Amino acid sequence: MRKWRLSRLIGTGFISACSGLEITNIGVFTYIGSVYGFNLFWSILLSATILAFFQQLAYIVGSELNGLEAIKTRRKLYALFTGGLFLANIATMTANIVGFSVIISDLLGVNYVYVAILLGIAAYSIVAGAKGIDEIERVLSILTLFLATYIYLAITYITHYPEVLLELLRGTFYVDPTMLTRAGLDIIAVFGAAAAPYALVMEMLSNSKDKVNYTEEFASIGMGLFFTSLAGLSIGFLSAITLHSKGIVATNPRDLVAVLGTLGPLAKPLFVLGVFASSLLAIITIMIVNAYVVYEYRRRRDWPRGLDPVIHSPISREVNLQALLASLIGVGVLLYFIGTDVNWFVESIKLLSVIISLTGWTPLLLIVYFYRYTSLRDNVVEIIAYALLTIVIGVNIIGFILDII
Amino acid sequence: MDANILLGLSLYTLIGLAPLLYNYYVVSKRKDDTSSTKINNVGNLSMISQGNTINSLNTFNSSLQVDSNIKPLDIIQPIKFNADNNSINRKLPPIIILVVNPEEFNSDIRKLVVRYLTRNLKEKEDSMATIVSGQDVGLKPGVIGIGTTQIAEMEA
Repeated sequence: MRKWRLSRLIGTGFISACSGLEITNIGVFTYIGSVYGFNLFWSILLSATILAFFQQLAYIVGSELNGLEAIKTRRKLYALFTGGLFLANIATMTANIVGFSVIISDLLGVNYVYVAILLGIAAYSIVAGAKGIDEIERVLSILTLFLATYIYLAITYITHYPEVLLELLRGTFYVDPTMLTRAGLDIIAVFGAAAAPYALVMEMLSNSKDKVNYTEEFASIGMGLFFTSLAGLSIGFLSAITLHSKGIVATNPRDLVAVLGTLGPLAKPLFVLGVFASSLLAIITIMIVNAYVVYEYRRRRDWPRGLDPVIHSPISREVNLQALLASLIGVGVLLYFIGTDVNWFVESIKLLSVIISLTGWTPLLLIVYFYRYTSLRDNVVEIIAYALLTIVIGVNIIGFILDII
Repeated sequence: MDANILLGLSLYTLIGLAPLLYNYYVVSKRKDDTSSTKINNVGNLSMISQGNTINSLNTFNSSLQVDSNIKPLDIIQPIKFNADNNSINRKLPPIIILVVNPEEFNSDIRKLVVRYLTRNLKEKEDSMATIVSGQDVGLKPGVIGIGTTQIAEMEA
């Protein structure tokens, strides 16, 4: 019997999965919890599971075709991919900086602009100051553990009110047919939020350690699925027991934080700590992915093997600084256009989610397309991949059209 | 337990977990298969054209024939094979697969390969270079092959 070490389970697969649980997801889960109670929890679980499947394919493609090398052989496709990914990444960074800063400013009464700048600088410093990818991964591993605060808060409540567990299980595993028509658009939003393009690209780059071990990495992805599903369900759960029971409709984590005090004095700070870890995790992962794709694109004569040379390159510092500035400008632009007098946070997250959804499925498409060129190609897996891809793209397109209407 | 929960749990296992577990089964099974592949029995590498790995990466449009005693660091001489009339065309630009162990890939070998590619390949050709999995050329998993053009000058 093979022994699984915990350090192996908390590998790239685990970190990638956790990095996908960022502020837009937290917002969507808060919303569906507040509106539908436990009724749509199955969509959180199913979307996380579908993403884990694509993560598996991303690892196979990345390992067999050397990261993005396969895509790179097609210059126009790569340019399109890089451009789309970069845009989605900056939108996600902006959303996370905005989201966390507003929550902290509410909690501590400080100006969110300072928090936004500080958060950006913190993420930039971690990436620029690290000795190598291993050091960054250690930081990311520690951050993922803070996501357990969501789970802790939910479990604490369940231990006090165990009768809620049956209702929770019913919401997680039972699909009420009437919900499909009643909450169609919101189910789409859950699936749209689940597709984190940078998390999949991060998974593709995990062959950087010159060590390809499918079974270990798949176990790590499985662990990531388990943990993120629990964390996601916990966020929805906290929203359902606080906001839904009071009949409050919340479209962002800010409203959830505001009512968490009813669960105990520690609930609010613990949840905010979780949001901090989620945001920082997503921003750092995005910075690594941005640096890599631009590095690959510019230095086409070189074959960067591993992420260490990328992180130490001037390109990385330059790209990350640009992305950071773009995100902070994004924060300013949103503030300027939407203003402070309305709930601009909600509007900005919604606007950014549309941009992310539009570009979010392109890495999925490429991963499934290139999967057939790997030696691990399996017809059944390919059919499943195309079926799931069709669903995800279909859902995104429908969501986008409905969003415009 | 509510019957609806059990039904939903079964459905989730079928729709959500089964693809994940099946994919896990595929990769773990394949690993066992390839570990038993004998390097000495590589022979004709037409499996590359079957898998389309290299064709589809625009690297070249041929299958390869190699010496049957392929070892790590060997250079494989390519011969274009026309599947339509079963003929061999030797007038094509040389394409070589350099096979290296991943452990060695990090050290001097890697530097040598990168230096060679940086110095010798023109932009157009550079984009044609690719790393292929050793499994595609019938080697044990983890061994990496590098396919590119003009690498015949490598030894010089």
